[in-house]
Amino acid sequence: MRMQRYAPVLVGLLLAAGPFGCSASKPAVRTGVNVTHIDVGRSLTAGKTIAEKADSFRPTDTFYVSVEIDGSGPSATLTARWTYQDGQVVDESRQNITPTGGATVTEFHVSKPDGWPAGGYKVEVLLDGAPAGTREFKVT
Amino acid sequence: MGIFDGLFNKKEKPRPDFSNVRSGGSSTAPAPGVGGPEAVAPPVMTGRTYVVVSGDSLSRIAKRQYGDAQKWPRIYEANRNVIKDPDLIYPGQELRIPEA
Repeated sequence: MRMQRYAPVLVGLLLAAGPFGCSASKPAVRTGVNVTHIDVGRSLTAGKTIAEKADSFRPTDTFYVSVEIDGSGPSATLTARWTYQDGQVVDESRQNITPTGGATVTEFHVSKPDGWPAGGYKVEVLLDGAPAGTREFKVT
Repeated sequence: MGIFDGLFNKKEKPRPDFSNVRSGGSSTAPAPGVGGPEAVAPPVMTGRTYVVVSGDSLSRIAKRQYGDAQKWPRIYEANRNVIKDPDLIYPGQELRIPEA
């Protein structure tokens, strides 16, 4: 009985608090530029997308990651950080670009003349320093 | 003797050496300041940046980026504003990599 009496009050309070409660858990939304696609593979097309997707590589392969972004802005910095399973940073490089609107594609690649050690690898892609996606793969 | 062999003779697996990794990249989007009507006397640059990691030297970076360690002065000249001494670069430092 008592609960029934207070129910409308509780509902009102929840509705009032709703917008504030939700805002904290919303993912950060970047305005202007967003990463829409990340692929890893062993070769590229002329448009810098991945021609041959892969999650398992040979020691002699070159690793490519292709990052598609959408939107426009004065500049954006894309970072590709490649790491080995033991945490060693294999390579980290950045490209500063001007997103011109629509989809643009940026690729990063790494190679090792004497062959990659077998094991697990990871490439993290960051957009203006914020994590935008990770892809894991292995060398067998 | 046999009991302790496993304890005391355990050799740690050496960490793989990634110092000779070569990297590169390109984009369908232009680099800032290159192309477009608002570009003002663009310097010759690709917009590619390398982040120094522990154990790097300019010659090692040149080897990775160009395949030739002797080309390190090219990177040094392009980054004179951030490199005071070519023998001293620091992890986390961002270096511009000019085209080979």
